[in-house]
Amino acid sequence: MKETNDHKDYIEVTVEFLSSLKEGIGLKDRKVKVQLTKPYTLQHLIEVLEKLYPKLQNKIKDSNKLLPYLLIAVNGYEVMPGTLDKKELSTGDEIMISYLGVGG
Amino acid sequence: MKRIKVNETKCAGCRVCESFCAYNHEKVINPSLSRITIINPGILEQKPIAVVCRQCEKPKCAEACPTGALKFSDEKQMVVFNENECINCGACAKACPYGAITMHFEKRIPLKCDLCGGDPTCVKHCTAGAITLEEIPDEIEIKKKRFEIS
Amino acid sequence: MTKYSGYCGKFLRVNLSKGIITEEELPGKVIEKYIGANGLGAYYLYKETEKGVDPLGENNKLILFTGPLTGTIFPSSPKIGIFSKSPLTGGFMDSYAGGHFGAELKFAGYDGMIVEGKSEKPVYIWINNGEVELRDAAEYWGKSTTETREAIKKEVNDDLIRIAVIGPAGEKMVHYACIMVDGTHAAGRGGLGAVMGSKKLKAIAIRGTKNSIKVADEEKTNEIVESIFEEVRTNKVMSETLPTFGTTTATLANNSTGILGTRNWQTEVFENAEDISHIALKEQLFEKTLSCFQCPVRCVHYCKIKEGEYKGLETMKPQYETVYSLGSLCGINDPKVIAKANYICNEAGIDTISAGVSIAFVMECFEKGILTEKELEGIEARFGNGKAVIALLEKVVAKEGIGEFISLGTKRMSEKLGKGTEKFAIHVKGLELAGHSIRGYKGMSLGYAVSNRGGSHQDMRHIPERSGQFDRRSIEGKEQLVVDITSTTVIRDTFTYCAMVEGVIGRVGLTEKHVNIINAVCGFDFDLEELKTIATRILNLERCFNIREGMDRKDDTIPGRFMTEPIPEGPSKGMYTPKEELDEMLDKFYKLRGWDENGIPLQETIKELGLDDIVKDKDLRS
Repeated sequence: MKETNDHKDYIEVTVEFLSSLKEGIGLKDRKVKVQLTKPYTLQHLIEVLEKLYPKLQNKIKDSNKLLPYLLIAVNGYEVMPGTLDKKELSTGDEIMISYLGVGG
Repeated sequence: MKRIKVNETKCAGCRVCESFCAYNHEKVINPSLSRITIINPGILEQKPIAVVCRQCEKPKCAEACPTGALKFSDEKQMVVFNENECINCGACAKACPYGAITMHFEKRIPLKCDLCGGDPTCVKHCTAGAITLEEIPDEIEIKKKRFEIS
Repeated sequence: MTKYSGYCGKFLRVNLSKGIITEEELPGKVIEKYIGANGLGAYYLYKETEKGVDPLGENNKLILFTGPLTGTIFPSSPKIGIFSKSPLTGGFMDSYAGGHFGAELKFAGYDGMIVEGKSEKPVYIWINNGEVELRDAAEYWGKSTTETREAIKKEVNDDLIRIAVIGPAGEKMVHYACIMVDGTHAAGRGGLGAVMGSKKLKAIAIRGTKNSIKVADEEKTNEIVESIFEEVRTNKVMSETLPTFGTTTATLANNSTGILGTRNWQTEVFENAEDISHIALKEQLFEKTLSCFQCPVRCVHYCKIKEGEYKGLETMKPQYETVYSLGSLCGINDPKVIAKANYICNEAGIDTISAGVSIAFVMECFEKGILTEKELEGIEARFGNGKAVIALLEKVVAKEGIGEFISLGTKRMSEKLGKGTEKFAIHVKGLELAGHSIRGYKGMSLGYAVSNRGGSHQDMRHIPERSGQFDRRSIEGKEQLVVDITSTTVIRDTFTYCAMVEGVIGRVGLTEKHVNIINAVCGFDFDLEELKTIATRILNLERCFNIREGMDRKDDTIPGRFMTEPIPEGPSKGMYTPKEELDEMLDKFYKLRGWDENGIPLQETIKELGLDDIVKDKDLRS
């Protein structure tokens, strides 16, 4: 059973770093569990991740803007660039962050 | 002295260095007009090796040059080439034990690395970071001195 | 000699029947209309072959062309384009290989060559700058691609020559035999190696040192080139992902969005994807990063198997497409098996994509009881059985027993078998599908269906839909997206630059960037509209080739599985493209292209594009 957002002060999601995003940010595993306080949005999650892994910023942003070739998917669904603040998350969600532009 | 060094573990064999070297010096692209050459001897071309002038302190090319067009310049700390004195004999290319000099197939002058006047185009364009311009002495002369080989 | 820079201005015509080699001028008018590789290949193949020509007969031609960027300082443009009527599809085929061969050809003084006729005895073409000859290749016939390459280097006494070669599979005319270029690269798709084999042409070897290439506007060219180099240095994909992992990071990315072809596309989630991930490949296989001529991106990897049954085996890449076709598609979870399979394909000279998809098809037939273990000569062709993949591959390249059947490709195998196997024969127009989902992207459904090559991922590209910028779950506007993306891919293959840098130059629709590049390097005076017309002209000419061969709307389709079976699980569960949706997209697409409802270019379209000089009315009427 998936918990609803109202029960706790935070939600817990899984973030998977694909492509070469894991390299050099101090992560052991490609997948990490992250606790997120309100607002439960993808935008906030990115901010939290940047705090957790300071070297991540350089890997996902250029001049404080997300790289145009970044792919973020929630439960396998690609999130439209520019709509991260509208994408609500809940406990158990799986977020995948990858670079685009490879694959033959 | 300043010399070009190539880290062959990093070299991917793309030969961007060759294209830019020819283009920078001759205004055309043709690897046979490049001062640096990447040799790929592995059967899968997996072991690139670079051949480039090592700026010898006691250069064989200069020794062989009948006119003094090539010489080690104490001031510039490199082997310099003066085209005006060149008689197109090709003795330098034959003499270089490292194969670093070839002859321009039209102009018949030696293709000799001039370090692009201090900012080599090969170094600038090597995205693998394999080619660097290093401040290092001639290790062969150092070894010869130590073991008293003249 | 042409007034345009970036060209040699001439090409070779090699008639193998008569043993005559001539030089021909590449006319300025043809250059202005078709620019380079893809364009020139389409032009000469259309013009010089006749309807119904036997792909493996004397009258088919094998055409090679470089693009004007090849051999210049423009980065990542090493490609040699190879063109012919395909034995696999019966239609127009173009396939492009990287390496150093294309540039070497230009440094030898030629933009390309047209190989025609058929030799009685095995020969190879030796191009030594301006001197070109046919040489006896009897002693190389039957040898692997590497053995042949090494032997020719010795014969001509130059270790740095560049060679395109076929292996035993090409000689035996396996329908998806490829042409291996420089040991590492392949003009992989559509059976061009079989065409070469049918002509008894074992190799083309080049020594090019005497011809220099100029660019027209040095200042502008330098500016564009430097900006791309800067992008390569700072872009994470080009500076980090590709040099470290090649294209193999797509495996996990596709799996986690539920669009990784698995067990012959019965599903699109592979439970063992982790085992064949980019990380696993890097740990178990990759030894060193390599690159093509003048390419600062470096996406190639030299591999050496470090342990196990295949310990010590050396090969190149495998790249994502191979990890898909010989990995997840066959249910294989061992990178070492994929590397071994890749090695067999490269040495014998077959396309890893078509090979893997063909074997996956056989595996599904086996599991469904359509092919028995007896028929498969004792090979238990279950998904996940690595030994079976290797054993079947070895039979394919030898074209022995069941291997002869599998060497026909999925389309012909399913036609022979019947029993409903057409539904899961994974090909478009006979060309086996690359590793990017049909069902998982509505745009790819249309893109694959209308690709002139068939199941190629290099015409329509998946990346714009992948990014979320275009909703991959909707058919809305996909006809325009296919038009826009294919206009850039055809120009990419015409100029030619590699798919690895297409992101920098632009994937969706031609822009001033494309125009500026070609004008600066070559000295053209094109505007954007003219370049768009050229792109459309080339695509239409390829289309006309296929129409002349009898193709039409009925061939613009996708495998039955993708029209009837929704993805059964995972994040993309439920996705498929029913025939009605495909038809709706096709109708809109044809209209946009100026084709009739049967997919035939209208006379006015042909006229507008200036194709009426070679495309005759009767060519388009069956």
